[in-house]
Amino acid sequence: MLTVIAAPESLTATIGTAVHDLCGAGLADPAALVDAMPHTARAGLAALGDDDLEAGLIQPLAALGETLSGLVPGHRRIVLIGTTEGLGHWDASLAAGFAAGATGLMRSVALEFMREGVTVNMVALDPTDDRRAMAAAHLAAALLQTDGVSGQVIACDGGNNLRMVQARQRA
Amino acid sequence: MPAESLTIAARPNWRWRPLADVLRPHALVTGAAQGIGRAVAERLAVLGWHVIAADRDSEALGWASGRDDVTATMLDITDAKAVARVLDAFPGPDIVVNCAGIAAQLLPLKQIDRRAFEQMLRINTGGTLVVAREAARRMQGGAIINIASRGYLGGAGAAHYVVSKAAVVGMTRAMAVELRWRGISVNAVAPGMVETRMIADFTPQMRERLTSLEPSGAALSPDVIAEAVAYLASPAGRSLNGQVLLVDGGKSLGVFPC
Repeated sequence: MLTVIAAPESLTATIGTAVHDLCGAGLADPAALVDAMPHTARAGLAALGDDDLEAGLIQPLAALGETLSGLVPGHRRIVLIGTTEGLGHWDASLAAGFAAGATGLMRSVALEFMREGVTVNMVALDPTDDRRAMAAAHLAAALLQTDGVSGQVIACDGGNNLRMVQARQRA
Repeated sequence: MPAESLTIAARPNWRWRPLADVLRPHALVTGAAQGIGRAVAERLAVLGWHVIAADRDSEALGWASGRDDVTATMLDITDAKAVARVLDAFPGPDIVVNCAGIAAQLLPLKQIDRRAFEQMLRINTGGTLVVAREAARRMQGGAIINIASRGYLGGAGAAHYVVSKAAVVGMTRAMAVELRWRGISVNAVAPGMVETRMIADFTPQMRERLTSLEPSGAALSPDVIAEAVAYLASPAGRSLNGQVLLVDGGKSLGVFPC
């Protein structure tokens, strides 16, 4: 059984449908695919308001914590669909905070519930590149069918996280 | 010169102080009443900074009274207007050290409710961002140093604390990218177990169990963290940007007895 926790029409929902098709009845354990993508517009640090902070970081991370708490230990295989923005990016303090916070949360849950046979991982996409939904679905499906990987962030971005080509011209 | 062109006009809370004092580089240290924050404030003062020692607990800032190299001020870091008021009362700042935060009671995930997540995030993560944002609006070069925690790497039993500190690390990296062009470096220090009031509140059994997991068998002194911060505040240290300096005696390598 696969539980998908994502807004309809979202990228994570699309990936969830693909994972369902890929796994079919092949999931031995109750599994969950959880949206952990930042939903915040890019804005420079100085332009961020207190409401942006609440809506773009505090509430979504608290909600993610609550969601994961509700899933374990019943769901023994959990994959978060997140982003690589925790590495830091232009005008993305909130997104970076959310992405890194989600990663820390994922690892904590993985550590706390590993003795109960629960695995938690993250597939991290490049938020500026939406071409890799199927690749992410394949990775997620693999992670949902193994007990051998936990607490890991698998970047699914064609290597963009290596970041050698992303320097921005000085204005 | 027209009055409106004076820089001082943008600093409504400016207080008259001796010229020699005003000319010293200024460092804002939050959470400076005790522990790591106090150690950082005292270390930077020794190194010649004028330190604005800020904390929510103004009484606990008594250690700074009578000193001409430290100005104590009450500050709630989640109150953006209060942060702005404090910053406007001083030159700079040249350095900002975000030490203020709350520790977590060790709790299993199932006992951490939504409110506990929110409170931890609002203070540890939101407060750090608010101070950095208000400071960045006023800084013309310098360094922002955020105190995270080794816990950002993940840890069982304090998910709300971990998520708040991991988010600080992510924000640090984004701020580092964004602010470098303005001559501001942004780094984080991630301490391991430090001898502070936070761990003094643990039961003796819990304390013994946690210290036994440390590579050296003991908690670190806050002075060790202050030295790391002082390095990042130094001209040499400012060539680091977007980094997380793990100051934990190597515990994060994860292969020590446990």
